[in-house]
Amino acid sequence: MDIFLSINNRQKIIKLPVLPKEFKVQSGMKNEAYDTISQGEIKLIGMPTLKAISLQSFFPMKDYPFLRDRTYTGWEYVEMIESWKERREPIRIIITDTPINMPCTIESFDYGLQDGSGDIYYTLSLSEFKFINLDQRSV
Amino acid sequence: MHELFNISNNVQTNITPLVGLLQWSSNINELGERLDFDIAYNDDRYFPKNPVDIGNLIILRNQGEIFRGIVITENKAGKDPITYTCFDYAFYLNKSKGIYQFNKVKGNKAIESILNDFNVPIGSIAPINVAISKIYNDKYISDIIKDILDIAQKETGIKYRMEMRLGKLYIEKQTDLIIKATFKLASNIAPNNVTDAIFNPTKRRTIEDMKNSIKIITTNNDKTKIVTEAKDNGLINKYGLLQEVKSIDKKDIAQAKNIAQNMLKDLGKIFEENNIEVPGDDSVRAGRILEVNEQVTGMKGNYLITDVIHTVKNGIHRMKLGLGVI
Repeated sequence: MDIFLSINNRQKIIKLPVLPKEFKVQSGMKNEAYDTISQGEIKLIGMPTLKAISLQSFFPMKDYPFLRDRTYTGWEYVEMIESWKERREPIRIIITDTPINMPCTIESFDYGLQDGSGDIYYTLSLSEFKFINLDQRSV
Repeated sequence: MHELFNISNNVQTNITPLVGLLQWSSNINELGERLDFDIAYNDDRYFPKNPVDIGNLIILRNQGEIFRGIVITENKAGKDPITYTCFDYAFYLNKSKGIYQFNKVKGNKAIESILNDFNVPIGSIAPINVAISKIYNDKYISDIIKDILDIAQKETGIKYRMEMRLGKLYIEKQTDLIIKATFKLASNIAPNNVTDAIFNPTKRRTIEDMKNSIKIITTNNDKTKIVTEAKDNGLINKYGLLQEVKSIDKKDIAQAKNIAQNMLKDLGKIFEENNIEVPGDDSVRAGRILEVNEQVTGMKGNYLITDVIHTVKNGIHRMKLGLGVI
């Protein structure tokens, strides 16, 4: 399994050098409960919410034998994700060996040092981005 | 699923994916329906361009067409969603004034000639068997139509309902349309009656506007004469005398008794205002009749829908109904 982040049709690609030890996709529904006076609460089914995923890992400052990619080091990754934020464009996350392949927006990107190793620990929160196509026809 | 279409420059665009809140309403006292919606706005380059503009044609469809009208108002506030207000073609009748003189013209013919002058397409107009002899000067067109229907109601006792369907105006007898409103909890579940899922019922009863005695008068050369009167003694004994005086033209004297009787029938009752919230059904519009059986506040029988606000948000359709006695 590998995790790829890319922008603008694979113009730039990041393959995560260290995989997070776990991830979960949040996939919700906006349903509403409705208080009727004859039957009590009933549930009205709403629409799906945007999916979200959060990745927690680190960008290495030095070479470790377990790295899955050595294209960039440490702060280069951070700078790249920061520059993606500036571009205000959706990015794409692909997790191989899973069906996950989803256009996303960066909701938050927290990073910093924590244990003297120099490695940059981060939490990257992504939220689904839906492309909208308006259906047009002449009348 | 409700879908909203914008039509401009001969292109129809389905704008539903951009719409957050959808709300449409009708009121029995107003000719014409209103639709409000908001459209998401963003300046990122993947975001579609908003095709809606003032004057564009907007169509709301679900199983069938629900609303067709013109964008009248646009509201922008920073980067918030842009809100639009639309009215159906009756808007032009509500905002235009006219001068009309009718001399013994049959009610429906009078209305037809007005509608033709304003190019409002006519679906059908029920026969209105009253002779209209009146001069309308500097009056809103919709008020002229309502006045004609009011004269008809006073003389014949028949109530009429006006509504636009598929861009055409229909005037029909009020009792002609008893609807059965249903909703589905999910697409694969059998429909339920909306009145089985009532939320927040309120009921107000009042004799504030009751009239249990009607006097019809005419004035001729400064002499006022009572032509006829109608009374409901049962109501007078119970609630006290509440009297209304209506003056009519000399030429209408032949109708005086009918007018008195019909006014008494219309006003000689306890007025009721009921409000309920229920899941949505597209067929519910003001002027139609709904059967309600609600034990808590005690609504039972057929009720006239006086006003209704439909809301679709987040894929959930609800409505607020005002119900009056027929």
